Amino acid sequence: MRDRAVVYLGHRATRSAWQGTYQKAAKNYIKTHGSGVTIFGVLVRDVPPNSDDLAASRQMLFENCPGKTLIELLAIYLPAGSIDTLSDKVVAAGKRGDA
Amino acid sequence: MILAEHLHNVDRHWAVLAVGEAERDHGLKVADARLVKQAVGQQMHIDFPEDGGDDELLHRLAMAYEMAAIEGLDAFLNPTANEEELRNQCSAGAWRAFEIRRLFTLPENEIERISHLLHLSALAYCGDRWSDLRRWYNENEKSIQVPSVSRATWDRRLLYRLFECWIRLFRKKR
Repeated sequence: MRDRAVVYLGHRATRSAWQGTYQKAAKNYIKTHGSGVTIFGVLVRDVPPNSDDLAASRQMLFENCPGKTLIELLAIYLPAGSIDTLSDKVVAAGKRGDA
Repeated sequence: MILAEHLHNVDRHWAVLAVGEAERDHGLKVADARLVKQAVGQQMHIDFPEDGGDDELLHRLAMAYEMAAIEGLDAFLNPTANEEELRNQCSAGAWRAFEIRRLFTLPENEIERISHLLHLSALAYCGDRWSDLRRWYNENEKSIQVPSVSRATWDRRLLYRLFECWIRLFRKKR
């Protein structure tokens, strides 16, 4: 899956402003046998913050993490019950030009 | 038409060089040896020592050649006079990637198998390997069978039908 994502990005990178950056990262990915990557995980919830939310993922990822791989998990807690109306707010902000 | 010069150029593409020149040469030799072993079966003993990392090397090498192919994909799909080099890079990269990927074991999972076959077929198309693909289909007749749609959910049914269409197109057979 990760290899497919890297190859897919290669198609998007062609003739883009970030083609050079992509090539540098892809070379590193190949040279490190696929372990030279940084993976970001983002959790969005609309409940009170709880460190246990990331604990299971953190433990599982830590156990299988190669030495050259960096993993960053980020949890974003929104006001309670706000996710249902989030898309409407984003669309409204886009129309106002806030986005 | 793919020439030796195009293959030589793609062998020096940045993604392929990232694998390492010695590893690239070894990987291509392993691919050749495996192909010969598959072709002769039990009729002849081919003495070619391999090590445990060869499978991983072949996956990495195939990916690197595919990166080279993808870099030239737009030029391949929309040919213009001044992008011949990129077009050739796409074809040569796909040629090499097909050469390696056709040796991989087929996934057991149905969706992964379909994805693998379509991927392989697409590489053969871009790499001008029609006749090799048809031969591969003939040698792997069971692998290209379309799953039954009778009890499949609508998404699977759609996938199986699309798969069938593509296989028919690639085979050029009714």
